[in-house]
Amino acid sequence: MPYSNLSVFAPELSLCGLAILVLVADLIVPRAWRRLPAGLAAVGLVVPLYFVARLWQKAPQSEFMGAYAIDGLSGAFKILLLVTGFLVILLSFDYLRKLQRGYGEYFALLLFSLTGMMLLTGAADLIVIYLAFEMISLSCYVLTGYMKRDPRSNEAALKYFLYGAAASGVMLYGISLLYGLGGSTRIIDIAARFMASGPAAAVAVQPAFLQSALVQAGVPELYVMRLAGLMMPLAVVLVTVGLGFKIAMVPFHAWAPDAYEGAPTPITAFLSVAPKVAGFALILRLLLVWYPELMGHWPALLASLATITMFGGNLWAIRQTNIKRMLAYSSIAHAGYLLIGVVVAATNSMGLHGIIVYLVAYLFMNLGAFAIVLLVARNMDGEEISDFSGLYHTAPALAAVMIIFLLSLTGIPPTAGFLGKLFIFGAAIGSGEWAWLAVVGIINSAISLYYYMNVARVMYFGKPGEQVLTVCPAGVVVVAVVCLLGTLGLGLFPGLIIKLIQQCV
Amino acid sequence: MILPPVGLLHYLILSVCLFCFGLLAVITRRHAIGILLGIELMLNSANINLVAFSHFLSPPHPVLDGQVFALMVIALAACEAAVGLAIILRFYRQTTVTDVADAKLLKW
Repeated sequence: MPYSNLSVFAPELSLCGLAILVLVADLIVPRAWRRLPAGLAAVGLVVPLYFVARLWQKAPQSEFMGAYAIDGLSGAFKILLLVTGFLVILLSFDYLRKLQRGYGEYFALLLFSLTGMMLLTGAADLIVIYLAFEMISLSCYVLTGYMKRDPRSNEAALKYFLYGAAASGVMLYGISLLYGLGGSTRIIDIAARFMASGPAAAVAVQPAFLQSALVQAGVPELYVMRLAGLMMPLAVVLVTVGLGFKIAMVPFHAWAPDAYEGAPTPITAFLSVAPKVAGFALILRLLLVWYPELMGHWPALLASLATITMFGGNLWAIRQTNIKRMLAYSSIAHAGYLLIGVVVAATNSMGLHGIIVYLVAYLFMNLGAFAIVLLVARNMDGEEISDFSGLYHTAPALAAVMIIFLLSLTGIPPTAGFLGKLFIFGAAIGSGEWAWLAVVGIINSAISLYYYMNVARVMYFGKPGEQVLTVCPAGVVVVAVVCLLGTLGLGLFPGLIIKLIQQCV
Repeated sequence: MILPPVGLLHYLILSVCLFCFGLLAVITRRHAIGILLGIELMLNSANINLVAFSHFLSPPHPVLDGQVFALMVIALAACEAAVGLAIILRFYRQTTVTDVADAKLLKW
């Protein structure tokens, strides 16, 4: 196969081109038009979105000799990523104006990291997975430290970088072992090799090179089998560490609260949604291709990680006083709920649909909450929960909208969050084996009610501050309205989105 | 005494040792650049694995995948070091230390 069909790669190519265009436009336009690149970035996202939508209707295929997959699953995730990117760009306009730093590199980095995420959703080759992983991470480190005069932003970037680089090193070691065991970098070929030798593959597969090498070196036969059998689980665990870092899973979450608190708020909103979407896309692809031959015990491992992720995120969130930090821990807890869906998805397509519905809901409610945080922080000059004190008296509409997002994050009807939780917990109960996870999830939703409603309590019963809301940047208001419509629309008319997802995925 | 030829196993043992040293450095070092060095060791241990597997894999499989992968990793390690050093430098300018124990503005 000499040439690959580049048209299936159009969304990523156009997005990457847009990023370069933004970077160049920032260099050549006169100072008075400095905001042009920002507008270009927002409007230009329509092009990749168009290509993704067009490819979505076609039959699944894989290109570049099986290294890149285009199917309904990756299409759905790509649309989610592009919508997130668009909303985050709208959130950023006013923030950057206040920051008085360059526009071009900010939006270019945002688009580059978005390109990496799109690549990750379709990656079907270990090399592509690693490259996309690094493309996302490197741009996100720089964006986190974008406020270079703010010591908190610097510290956040330092911590994010050190954790991130270590996690990617661990994951790369796992990937190198997988390559050795599977004899190929294509995930489908690795699966085929294991499939050929039956479910007891972990031991039976390596004979050709590994076992003979061990025997040659004088290692007793018994130990040879045992060593070879250990390598596969080790590789899977190491890869799980890297993935767990990306979606902020306990115990690999330590970077998240610090990075979220120190980063510019629009970037915090971006980090809380986009890498999770991309990470879950990859987890699902690995699971669908590799289960059960390579990853027989993966669902059980993920189920225990999901449990500690939910409890950890929710319990730590209770004691937070900074709203960004609280939302960081809440996003960790949401990763836990989503992991329930992954565990179920191994055997049941209900879990798969549940994850996508949940991610759509999470996108709207979380970005909406961050839009309100941005509006309040812009006027109060602070991001503490106490800055929301008495918001009901100074800006009743804003307080009401925030309540809706908080209710949705808790999972109370008739909001999108309820629909997402209904799907995921429903799938868990339906699977029988994992019903206990749904119980854990419901207990955790009850815990989360406490800290979400604490914000509501402060807004309604707290003493109003001196300041009134005077600045209402158009971009942020638009995002808040869109997210409100999404949150309520999904909750009140769930039929549309469910039909669309069941059709395409 | 005739030593046996260097085989896959020797490379694997070397890479495991290198990986463990790297991980140890990441965990115990308090200097940000020391941690960065540990991370580079981990990346290079994976490179040894990739190249060794690529060399010893049986013929019907594509032989060069691992070597190409290793080249990619080397390039990315350089990018990562560039971004990392820039971030560490900004941190140093502001706090005049590179000890990560002093990064305590953001806690719990």
